[in-house]
Amino acid sequence: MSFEKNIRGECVRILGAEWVKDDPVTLYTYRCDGLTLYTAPPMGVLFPGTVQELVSVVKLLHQHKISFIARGAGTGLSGGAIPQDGSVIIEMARFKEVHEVDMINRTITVGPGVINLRITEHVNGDGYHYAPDPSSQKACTIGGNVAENSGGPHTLKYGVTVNHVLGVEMVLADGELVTLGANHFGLPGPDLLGLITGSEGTFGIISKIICRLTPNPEKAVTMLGIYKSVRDACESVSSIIGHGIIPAALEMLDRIMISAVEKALKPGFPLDAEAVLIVELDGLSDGLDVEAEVVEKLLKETGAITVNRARDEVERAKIWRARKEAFGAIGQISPSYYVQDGVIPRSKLPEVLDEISAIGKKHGLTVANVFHAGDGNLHPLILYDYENPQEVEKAHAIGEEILSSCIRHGGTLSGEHGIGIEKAEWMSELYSGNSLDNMQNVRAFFNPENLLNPGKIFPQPGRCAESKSGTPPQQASALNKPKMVASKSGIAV
Amino acid sequence: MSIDFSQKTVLSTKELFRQADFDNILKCVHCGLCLDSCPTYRELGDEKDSPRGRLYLMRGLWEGELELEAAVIDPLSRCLDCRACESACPSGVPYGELLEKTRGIILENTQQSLKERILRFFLLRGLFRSTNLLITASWILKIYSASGLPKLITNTFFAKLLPQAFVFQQHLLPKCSGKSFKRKHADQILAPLSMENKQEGAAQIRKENLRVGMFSGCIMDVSEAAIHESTLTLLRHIGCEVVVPGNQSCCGALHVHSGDRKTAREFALKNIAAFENRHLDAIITNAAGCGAQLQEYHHLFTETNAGKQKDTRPAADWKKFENKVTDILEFLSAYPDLLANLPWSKDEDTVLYDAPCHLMHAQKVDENPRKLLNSLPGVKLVVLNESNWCCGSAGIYNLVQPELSAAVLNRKTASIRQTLAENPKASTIVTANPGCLYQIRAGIRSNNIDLRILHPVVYLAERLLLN
Repeated sequence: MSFEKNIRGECVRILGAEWVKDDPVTLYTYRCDGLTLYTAPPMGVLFPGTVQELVSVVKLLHQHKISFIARGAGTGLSGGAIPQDGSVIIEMARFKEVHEVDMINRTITVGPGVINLRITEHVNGDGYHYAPDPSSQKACTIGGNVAENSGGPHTLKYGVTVNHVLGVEMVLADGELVTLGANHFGLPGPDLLGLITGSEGTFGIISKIICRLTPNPEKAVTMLGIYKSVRDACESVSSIIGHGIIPAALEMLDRIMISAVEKALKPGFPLDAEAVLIVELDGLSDGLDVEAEVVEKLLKETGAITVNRARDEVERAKIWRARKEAFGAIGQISPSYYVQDGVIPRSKLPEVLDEISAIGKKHGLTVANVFHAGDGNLHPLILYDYENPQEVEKAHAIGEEILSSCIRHGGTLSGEHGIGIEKAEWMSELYSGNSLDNMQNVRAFFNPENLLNPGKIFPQPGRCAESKSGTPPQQASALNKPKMVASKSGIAV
Repeated sequence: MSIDFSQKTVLSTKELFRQADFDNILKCVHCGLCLDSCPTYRELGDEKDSPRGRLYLMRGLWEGELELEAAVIDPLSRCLDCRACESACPSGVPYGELLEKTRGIILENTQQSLKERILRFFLLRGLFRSTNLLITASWILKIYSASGLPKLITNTFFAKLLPQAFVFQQHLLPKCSGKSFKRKHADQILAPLSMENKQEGAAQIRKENLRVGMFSGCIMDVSEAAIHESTLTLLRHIGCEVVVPGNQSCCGALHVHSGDRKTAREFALKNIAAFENRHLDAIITNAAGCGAQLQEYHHLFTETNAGKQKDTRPAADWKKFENKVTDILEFLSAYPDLLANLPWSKDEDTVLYDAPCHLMHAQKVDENPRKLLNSLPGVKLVVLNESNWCCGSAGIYNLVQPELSAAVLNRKTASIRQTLAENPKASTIVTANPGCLYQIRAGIRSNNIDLRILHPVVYLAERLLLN
C-alpha cells in the first residue's frame, strides 16, 4: 500500500518531497512500535515540520477521509502507534523545539517531539526537573507521554503525566487548531486537558505542550533491599506504606530479572537473591536520614537479608539504569518477551505474584517480574521464543490469565502503557457495554469519523460483538484472538 | 500487506546471513532506547535511519523477508558505525559487529557505485596495503601542502568558486611527514628513558620488565608524526621497553566498516604474526578506531565462509592478541604514580575533551583518559558538551556521505562553540583518534574557531619538561 497519486502530490506540495515517504522499506520499519507482537504497515509516513504543515496535512487527510495517527519515538508498549487499516503515520520527530522556559511560573513549553529526558536536562542547571520519568525516558517523546499518560518509577510520590501538563495546543481531526489550559492552574469547566491526556492519540494530535517543572529534591537516599523471597519483599512494601511513608520510588525486581540486568548492565545485584527492592526517599536533607533509618528497619523486620545504600551519585545512577533498562536487558536471556501492565491493589501483591508464577509454571514458560511495587503496577514479562509457535500460543494464554487475575483481584488492565491495540478487546471485561458506549460517545465528539488512530482502546466491532451487549468476561476472552497481519519477523506471532 | 519483493533470491539472502553467525540479532527487543543516541536518527528523524530501524532491516534480511536492494542498503550505508547505540543498548546488541557483517554481505553481493569502487580500489585495496605507496603519497601531500595550494583554495575567493566538498577536503588533509614511523624504528628494542632526578618510578616498572609493542597504522604511520613520537616518549619515560614491529600493517578498520572483510582478514593475520612471539605485555594503540578493530579481530573469522582463507587462527590466539591491545591513554592511566613522578609543567591551561566514538562506545574506555588529563598539574579539563557524540568522520564516511557527515560535524562544531563560550580560556581541544582529529580540525578551521586541536598524547608530551 502507498499513497494515491493525487494525495501524494498534495502531501508533497505541503511538505516537500523529502518529507513524504511511502516506499516499501520505510513502511516496513514503521509497521510496529515498541510492541512487536502485531505488525501492520502504514499507507505512508509524513514528516511535518511546523504546526502549519501539520494542520494542512490533517485537513487534507480529513477531506479525503483517510485515517491517520501521530507517532513519536515509537517506544510505546501497547501498539498505540501501529497503524490499523493502513492509516497514515504522521511522524512528530521534527517538533523538537523548546519554545519557552518560564522559571517564575515553573513551566516549560515544548514541541511534542522533544525527548522526555531532554526537558529535565534543559532545566536541571536551574535546579528543576520534569517529574514523570518513564523507563524509556531517554528515548520517548513528551507527545507520546501525554497521549499515553505515562508514568514511571517516581510517580508514586509525584504523580503521572496528567499531573504535570498544564496546557496543550492540539490539532483536531478536521484540522482545527485548539489550545487547552495555560501556564497556570485552575481553568473553570470540565477538565478537558485531563480528558486529552491518556486518550492515546484518538482525540487529536498535540502540537505543543506546557509542562510543569518540579524543583529538584535537596537530597535523595536510594536503598537496595535484598530478599530470599518475593513475598517478603511484598511485605516490606506494605509495611513502608502502612507506616505512612511515601517513598519517591518503590520498585521490585525478581530473580530472573536480576540475572538479566546483571548480564547486561552489571549494577551489582546479588544473583542468589529472589528479589531486590529499590526504595528511594527524597526531600529536604533534614530528617531524611531518620526516615531512611526507619525504612531500613522496616525492610529488615519484614525479611530483607541486607539493605544497602547507594553511596554516591554513580552508584545511584547504576541502580536506576538497571531498573529503567530492565525490559531491554531481557534480550540477554530470551529472544522475545511479552510484557503486561496490569495494576492491582497493593495489598494483593503477594497473592497475585504467587498466582503469576503458578500460571507461568502451568504453561511451562518463565515469567520475569520488574515493577512499580509502590503503585501495585505489575510488569510481568513472559519470556518465549518467537520461532516456536507453541510458545507464542502459551505466551498469549499466560498474558490473558494474568490480566484475568488482575481484574479478579480488583485491579485493572494498564497502569501506564495504555490499552492500544493490545488490550482493546479486554476493555469489555473491565467495563459494561453501557460504559464503553458512553466512552466512545466522548471520543466521537472529538473524532466523529474515527479518522484519528482508529482501532485503539475500544473493542473492534465485528471482532468483539460483546462490546455493545455486555457478554460475560469468560466468553469474551475466547473470542479475543488478534486478527492482525501476523508477521514472520520481529518478535511477532 | 507484506512487501512484495522479488522471490527468486529470497533463500540466498537468508542463507548468506545465516552463514554469518548472525544470531545476536535476536538480542534486539525493539525497545527503542537507542534512538536518541543515534546521530543520523537525530538528523533525519526517520525510523529506518535509527539503530533500531537498521537492526529491523538486518533482521528482515536475515529472515529472508527483505532483499539486498538499494532501498534497504541505503539506510544501512548511511550509518556512521559510531556505535553510540551500543552504549545506550540495555540488551547488549553487538550492533557494530552485525552492521559490519551486513556490509560485508552487501559488498560481496551487490554492485557498488562508481565513486565507492574508485575509493575502494585506490585507497582501501591499493594505498593502505603498501607502506611504500603510503610513503610516496605522504611525500606528495607534504609537497602539496608546502606549495600553499590548500591555503590558497581555502583562504581566497577560490573557496567560493570551487565545490564546497572539495574546499572542505583541503581542510581535512593530514599533516604528512613523508616518512614511515615503523620503518624508522623497525624492530629495535627502544630502551626506557629515565629522568635524571626521578629514577625510582622508572626503575620500578623496569623491574617488572614491561615491554610493549606500538601499533603504527597506515595514515598515522606517515602523517601527524608528533602523535607516534609523543606516544613513544611517554612510554619510554614511564619505563617501558618499546618495540615497533616493522612488518605490521594497516588495522583494516576502514575496510571492515565498508564491508571489505577479505582485505581486513589479510591484515589481521599479518598483524597477529607481527606482534606475537615478541614477548609483549601490551600492544599500544593511539588511534581509537585501530584499537577497537584490533580488539575485535575474531569477529572477522566467525562467518562460516570466512574459512576460505586458508590460515585462520584458533580462537585462543585471537583472544590472547586482543587482550593485549590497549589504548595509550588507558595504559598510561594504570600507572598514576609513575606519571606523577615525571616533571610536568605547572602552567595553568584549560583543555576541552572530545571522546572518540571508538574509544568510548567500542573500546568502552571512558573515564580513565579524562582522569589522567585532569590529574596534570595546572590543567583544567572541560568535557565538551555532547563529547560522546560522533563528529561525522567515521572512517571514510565523510568522503562517501559528505552531506550527512557535514550535518553531524555541524552539531559538533556547535557544541565546541558553546563549550568554548562557557570556557573562554580554553586553548586546546584534544581527541584520541586521527579521523576525529582531521574532521574536527577541518570543522574548526572552516568555522574560524580559535582553538588548536591535538591528540591527548601530544598534549601530554608538550607539558613534559624534558631537559
